[in-house]
Amino acid sequence: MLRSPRAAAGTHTAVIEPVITGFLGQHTGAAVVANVLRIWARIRPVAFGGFQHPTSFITRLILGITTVHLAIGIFVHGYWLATANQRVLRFYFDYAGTLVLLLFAALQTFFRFLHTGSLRPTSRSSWRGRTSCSLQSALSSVRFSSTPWLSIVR
Amino acid sequence: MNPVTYSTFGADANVKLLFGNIGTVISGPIQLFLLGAGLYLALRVYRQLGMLGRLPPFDIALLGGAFLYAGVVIACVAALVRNNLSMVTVERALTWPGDYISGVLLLEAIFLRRSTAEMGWGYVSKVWGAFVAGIFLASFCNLLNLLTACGIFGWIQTSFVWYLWYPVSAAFALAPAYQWEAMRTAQARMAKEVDELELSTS
Repeated sequence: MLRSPRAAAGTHTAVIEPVITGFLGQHTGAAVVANVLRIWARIRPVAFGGFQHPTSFITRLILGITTVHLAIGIFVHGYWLATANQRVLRFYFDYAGTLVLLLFAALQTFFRFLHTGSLRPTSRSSWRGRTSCSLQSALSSVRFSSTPWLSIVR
Repeated sequence: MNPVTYSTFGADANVKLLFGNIGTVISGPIQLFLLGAGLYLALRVYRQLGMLGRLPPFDIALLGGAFLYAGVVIACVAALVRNNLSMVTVERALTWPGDYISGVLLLEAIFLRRSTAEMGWGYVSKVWGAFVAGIFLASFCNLLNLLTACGIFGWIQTSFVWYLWYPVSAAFALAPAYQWEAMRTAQARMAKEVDELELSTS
């Protein structure tokens, strides 16, 4: 069921509409409010910068994981500098860090697949996209299974 | 160091070194080249649509810095080759183009970001903004690694760079996520428009 522009506008309309209908009368006021809401629904995406919506769960997840991982990294780094004990630092980079990077690589590949999946299957863009996704997966797997992250510490 | 490397190739140091070198080359020049090719395709579309933006002085200065860094790397490589030819190996030579490609990537990403700047801070701008952030941070990390290797900074002073690779990876993951959200939003809006049209005609 579609929501009407009036319902979508929410409580602001409920406050303003009686004022306008009070001045202009019931029939004319309702017509003016309906037209203003329709125009507002059209210009809103342009006025507020294209497709502007609240950040979705997945982008918040990526930002949240990065922030938490960096915050843990600050403590780990401080501990390493204070005690010169590399065990925690190695665990942070070799296990937690690798998992985070693999998760990001997997999400990157997943969203590229989703993005190209919405294109026509026979189009050149779709084939290019699918090829680049497969290549991206292969590269990410090889990259994280072979790159020594902390070689400078050794 | 890496658990996957330990479990699969931990026994032989030579095999581990070989895979380490392969990973460095793949995660460096090859991946950057593929990203550069993708951004070039996007730039070509923006130019065809007449939406290619102009660069303000700050961006030109930023790009100047990136290409100056590429020039310093070229000079370092030339000095290395001249002084000690035996140090030049295939693995090292394959990683050298990464720094010049970073400069080109930064140029492409800034052009794309400026082209979409007039659209506000919507999903499309966020896509290119994430790429710019990722590429800029990666260039910054590479620059500090070079300065550390040249002995200008101590490696403990620049050790914070290890942690910056996580925001770089996050930025490269965020870009397609925003792209997918932009497409999903556009599709939902289009479906709503079609439904409204059908309701009004019926």
